[in-house]
Amino acid sequence: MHPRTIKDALRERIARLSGKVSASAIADDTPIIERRIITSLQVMDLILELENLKGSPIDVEGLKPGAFKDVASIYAAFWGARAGIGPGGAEPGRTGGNGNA
Amino acid sequence: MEAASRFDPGKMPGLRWHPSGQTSLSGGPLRLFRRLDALFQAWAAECGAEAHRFPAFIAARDLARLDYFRSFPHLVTFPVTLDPDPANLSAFAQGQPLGEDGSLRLSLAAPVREVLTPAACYHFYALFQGRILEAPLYLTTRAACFRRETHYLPLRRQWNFSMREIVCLGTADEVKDFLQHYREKLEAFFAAIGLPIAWETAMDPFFNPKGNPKYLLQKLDPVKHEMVYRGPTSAAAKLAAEAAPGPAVFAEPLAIGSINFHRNYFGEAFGIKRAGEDAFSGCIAFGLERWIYAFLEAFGSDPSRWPLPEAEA
Repeated sequence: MHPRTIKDALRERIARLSGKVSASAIADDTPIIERRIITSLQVMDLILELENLKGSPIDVEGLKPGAFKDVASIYAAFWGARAGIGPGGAEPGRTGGNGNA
Repeated sequence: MEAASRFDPGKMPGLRWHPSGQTSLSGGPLRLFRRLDALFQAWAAECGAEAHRFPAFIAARDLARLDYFRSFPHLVTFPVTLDPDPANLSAFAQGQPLGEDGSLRLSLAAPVREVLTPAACYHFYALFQGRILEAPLYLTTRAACFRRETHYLPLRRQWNFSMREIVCLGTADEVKDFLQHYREKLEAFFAAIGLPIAWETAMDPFFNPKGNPKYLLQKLDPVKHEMVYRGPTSAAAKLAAEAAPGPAVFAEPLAIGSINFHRNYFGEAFGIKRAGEDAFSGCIAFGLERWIYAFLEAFGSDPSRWPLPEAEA
């Protein structure tokens, strides 16, 4: 499938799940989590949509920070040259505690 | 820097540890507490943050809007009272109110509608709910916070601890600029005083994280960056543990504060608007007891060696 076709399909699915914006308002670099276009309640549904679009299961445990930042990141993580590896990023720290909000 | 690898909070004059997970401060440690908080307040004043003081309780209804009870049931602490029915009160008073193990033998408890504050900044979102902001809001408060843990360590991990926060409510860019400004300020401060701090991405301590989509979302888009102190105790003990394999006993790295970007989560939950959208928010949080630990270990107990301005009386 052509990259543009995949990205448009991603936009359409994100917009449908969100209900807040139209697909045309989602650019390749629109931050879908930061802007809470996709919330925690919708992220698992988005993963299911991606699995349908991709035709194969996604290893949720293996998802890396930044993989769902925007349409371009999702495309790169699951269809790009490094698909299956995902964008790099630091693993979450293990120092959470009561000094924090 | 003073060789402080033998620092033991339990032997520190002016610091009394309560095994319930609380400390009492006087003398030097109390002076340090005040000087640190004065420094944080001075930093807050630089952005014009308005100071607030909140009560110890926050409404359970407000925390429920954040899904707090599903995300952090293991941390929450409730203020409990007895059902006021005279027969119930008599049953409590005339029985054996205190058991031999130190626990109270409660009769029927009244409905619990309040929670002991788990994080200082939550009060702000409840306070400003429904507001339309014409400009970004900069705020600060210090609160006694309560988080139930599986174990406690003096100054390092407490049930009841003090948290100073500097908070911004605004657009995404306003909040990001605010957080970036304080990140740079703190980096410069730590470098200038020689406190060994590493910045690390962290996650909130969700209950049953694998079953919580909020945990997954934080993992995909990290929003918490901690100031992690690694002092001589942890470094020396780690080397010793590596040299002599076996059960390692050394201090864990200590997160003394964090910078948090909440996206528009609180703005949406409490109907706070900025520039026609749900307001974004972010905070700088300082765990005062942990700062005391880091300063006493790194710089010693002599106040003249603390790299801090003198606090006003």
